[in-house]
Order: sequence, then structure tokens, then C-alpha cells
Amino acid sequence: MLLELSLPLINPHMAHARVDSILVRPDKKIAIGQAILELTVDLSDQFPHDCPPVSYYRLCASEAAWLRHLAIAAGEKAAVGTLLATFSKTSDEAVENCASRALRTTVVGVTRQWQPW
Amino acid sequence: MAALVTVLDLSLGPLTGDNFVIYRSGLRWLVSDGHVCRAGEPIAFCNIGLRSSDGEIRSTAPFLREQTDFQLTLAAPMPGTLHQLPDASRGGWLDQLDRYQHWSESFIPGSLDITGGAGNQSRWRLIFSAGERMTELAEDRSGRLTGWRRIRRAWHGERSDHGTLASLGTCEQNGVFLGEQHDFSELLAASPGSLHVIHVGDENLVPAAAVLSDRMRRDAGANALLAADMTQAVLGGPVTPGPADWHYAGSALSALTRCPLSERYDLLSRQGLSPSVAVNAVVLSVNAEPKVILRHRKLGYRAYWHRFRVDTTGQAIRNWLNVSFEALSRTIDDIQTDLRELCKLLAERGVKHVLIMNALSTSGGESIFTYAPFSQALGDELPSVRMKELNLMLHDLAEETDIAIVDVDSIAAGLGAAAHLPDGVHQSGPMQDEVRGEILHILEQRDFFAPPRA
Repeated sequence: MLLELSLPLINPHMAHARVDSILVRPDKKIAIGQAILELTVDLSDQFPHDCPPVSYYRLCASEAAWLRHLAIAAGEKAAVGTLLATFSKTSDEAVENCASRALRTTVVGVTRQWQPW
Repeated sequence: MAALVTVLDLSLGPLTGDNFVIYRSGLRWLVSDGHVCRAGEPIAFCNIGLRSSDGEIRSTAPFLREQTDFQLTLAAPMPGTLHQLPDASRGGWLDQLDRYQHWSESFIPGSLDITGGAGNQSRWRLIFSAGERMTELAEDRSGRLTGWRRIRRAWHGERSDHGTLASLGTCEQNGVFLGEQHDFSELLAASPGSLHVIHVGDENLVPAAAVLSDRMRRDAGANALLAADMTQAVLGGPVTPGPADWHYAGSALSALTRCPLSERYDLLSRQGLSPSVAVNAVVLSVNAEPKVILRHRKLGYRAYWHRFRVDTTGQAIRNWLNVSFEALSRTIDDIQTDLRELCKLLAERGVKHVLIMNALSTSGGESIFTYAPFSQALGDELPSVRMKELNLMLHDLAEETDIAIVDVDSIAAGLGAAAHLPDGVHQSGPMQDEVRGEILHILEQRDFFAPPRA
């Protein structure tokens, strides 16, 4: 069974998110709870905003699966609903098939480490 | 049967400033002729000035740093239909500069058509506002309290028994205090007693408890040392400062070397001049307490600026921050200690009431089914957990000190955070009204306001 991971609508005001880091590798198995991606949702990325509301999120798997294909790279910006990755329940399933459903995930707001300028 | 309509001519009424002569500009109308006014609604404003009898402004004069934008708003004492008198406004600079007309208590700038009796109302209600410009270059005479200001404040003008309330927090407090017109109208209108309110923005320096405590502790000598060190570091760095660096440096230096709790706040009212009133209450915000703030490597003082402010300044300032400061990571206990210290310092300055706004502690954007994957202390990694811990910390602090918690978290939950607090910080107008009402309610419960006159 193929499973898709698309960019979820985390905040009703967001249109995009930036993929900051990809924490899994193709053809590797991910476990329940394992972090897949880290995202930045910047609600000011379409319009200038004093005190920009920037939030950081992590997408984690809520089920075990094999990562078969990554459709995005770290640093890229994706629109809500964009396909980010394809997973399968077994390691050898043909990825040409249509996905049966979305990968079950957990969306977590996270704190980022302090960075100098 | 139609109600009887009475024309009520309302004068400016008496106003004296001890030995000072009061000047004023012409009026700028806030509502049009024929407007149906609510009781207390601001209808016009002018600039005013206090001069010695020889016309000079001396260094000991009241409102010294606020003279250029000292303003007075006339508010309707009762509901009625406004009739503007033609001489009240002269237009142009004569409605902006205070030096061309004396205050005349018998002058009638307008009248109200009212139904029913006027009681003993025969004059406009007065609301004063003032605010020191961040720099004299930041002149903006387009309205009330307009332009870039270090501090904005306003107060009722009928009585002199004001309670003084200072707002020292992040941008979530802007709307709560300043209101929709950025002139404190809603707060003053809702206040059950005479109120003098001071609002200090966070653009120059975020008033985290530790930062504010350090500002309160520094004396003139320490401030001079800080200024000299900053000058040397910014000018001696590898990058030539550009315009954005100079602007940032000036505002940051001003905020670091001055403290809103140490400023002189003069008041004027119908009852005369009240020089240098004390701050009685402050409102802080737990959102002003980030996990990481900055600590100066050499001098040890603590500071914090919003990252987005620093991102848009020049490289010379960013270099100064990177080289001269270190990141100071704080636990929840550290923040509680900082708040406890600040409360102690505020009490020593005579501040009787410390109100702290808590934070939204849930996130509609999350779908966490298990916390098992998170190995660190949850509050270090998950903002929603950290906010819960901060809110709980405030309750612990309230057990041992006399702080009052403004329960923003509960108000957001009641109104619906998705609609009224979509990013966790920036509130809708109705939510600002609720938070404002809660602050006034807490202050009333704590006998902050002088009792009404018999």
C-alpha cells in the first residue's frame, strides 16, 4: 500500500511552508513517532508584517512505513497540499501505483535553537 | 409626543497650571458637524502648552520632553447632536501649534442638542495625552499621539486623584492599552475611576523581567559605561555602520540607558498641575519572557530585541550583538526568579500592583497523539508545553507574591482562539476589549482607583 505525505494546513492563515530539514532517507523504514520533516510557517511571507508570526513545526509519523520517494528538498517552499513524499507499507512495493491514502502523521509545534545573526 | 430638545452650550471650562500660562492651538474636529455623540466620545482635540509668564520654557518646566506634542481631547459630557462653532478651528498650523491662543474657560467651541436635562454639565470633559518623541526628527502632527514615541500616555482631566498604570510588555499589549484609534480612548472610557495610563512599546528593547530589572538598577555611571562600550563596539567592528545601524543604535542606547519606571510623569487636570506622579501599577506579559535572552559578555547586563527587528537592521549592529553578547538560556525557574526580583524592585519603587498577562497555552495547529518521541524536557522543545509551564509558574509566583494574573489563556479559550488569537499573540478587537476589561476589573478589586466623590 502506498501512502502520500502532503503539506497539511497547519494554520488556516497559511498558504506555504518552508521545508527546513528532512530527517529521513529514501528506502529507510520510519518508526511510529519518528520525525520526518521540519517546517517553518511564516504568516508574513506573503505580506510584510510587523512582528511576523513565525512558527516552527515538525511532522512525525504516526505509523511505521518505508520512505520511497522524496518530492521536495530542504530549503524549498511548498504550497499547502503539495506532495512532499511517498511511503509504502512494505519495502518492495512498486512506487508507480497510486497512493491509497495519506500517511498518518503528527504535527508538532517546536522551539528552535538560538542562532546568532 | 416628540421629546423636548435643548441646546446646551459647552465651554472649555477652567484649567490652570499653577504659575504657568496655558496656551492652545485651534481645535481639530474628530467628528463632523451634526454628529450624534455618545457620552464620553472624543469630539475634538488641540495641542496645548505651558509657558512661564515670560513665555520661556525652562529646564524645570513640566512636560519638558513632551512639550511639542502635549494634547488635549474634548469629550462629550452626555449624548447629543454636535454643533461646531466656526471659530473653534482655524485650520493649518494654527490647529497644530499651541502658541497662538490662550486658554479661555468661557470659550464655547460647540454645543450639543440634548433631550432631557443637562444636570450640572456645562463644559466639555477633558482627556490629556502626551508622549516623548523617540527623536525630535520623528515629528508627526497628523493626529493624536502619532509618530514614533518612546512612551505614550493619557489621563482623565477632570480630577487629580489618578491611579497611574504602566503597560510594559510586548505588542499584544498595544491594542489592549492603546485601543483601535491608538489613543487610549477605550481604556479611559471603560475605567471606573481617574486613570493615568502609560504605554511603552517593545520595539527599542523587549521588557523581559531581567532586562527591566537591569534598567532599574543601572545608575548614571553604569549607563555611561554601557554607552561608551557600545560606541566602541559598534564603531570598532569590522563593518562601517550604515543608516539602519545608526537608527537602531540610537533607539537601543536610549532604551538601555533610560527606564520607564524612572521617568518624570507630570499631569495636568482641572485641579491643577500634579508634578512627577508615581507609577502605582504595571502590567507585564509572560510573552515578553523568551527562553533565550542576551547577556553582555563584559558588562553583564541583559537585553533582548525581537529577532525580526534585528534581521532588518544593518550588519554593524548584528556584529555587535554577535560579538558583545552571549545567549542566556533560561529555565522556567530562572524566569520565575527574574519576575520575583522585578516584583521586589517595583515594590521598592512604590508600585503596589503587578499584573502579568499569561499566554495562550494550546495550539490548534498541533495533533500530538503521544509525547513518547520527544526526548528532552518537553517545555524546551514544544512551545505549547512551555506556555503551559509558564502559566503554571505564574500561579506559583502568585502564591508567594502579590501579583495578579490576567488570564488571557482563559479569555482566548472562551472567545475561540482560532478566530480571536490566530497566532497566539495578536488579538482581535473583541478580545482586546475583554482583556482590557479584565485588567480594569482586577485593578478595581485591588482598590487601585480613588473612591468616587460624594
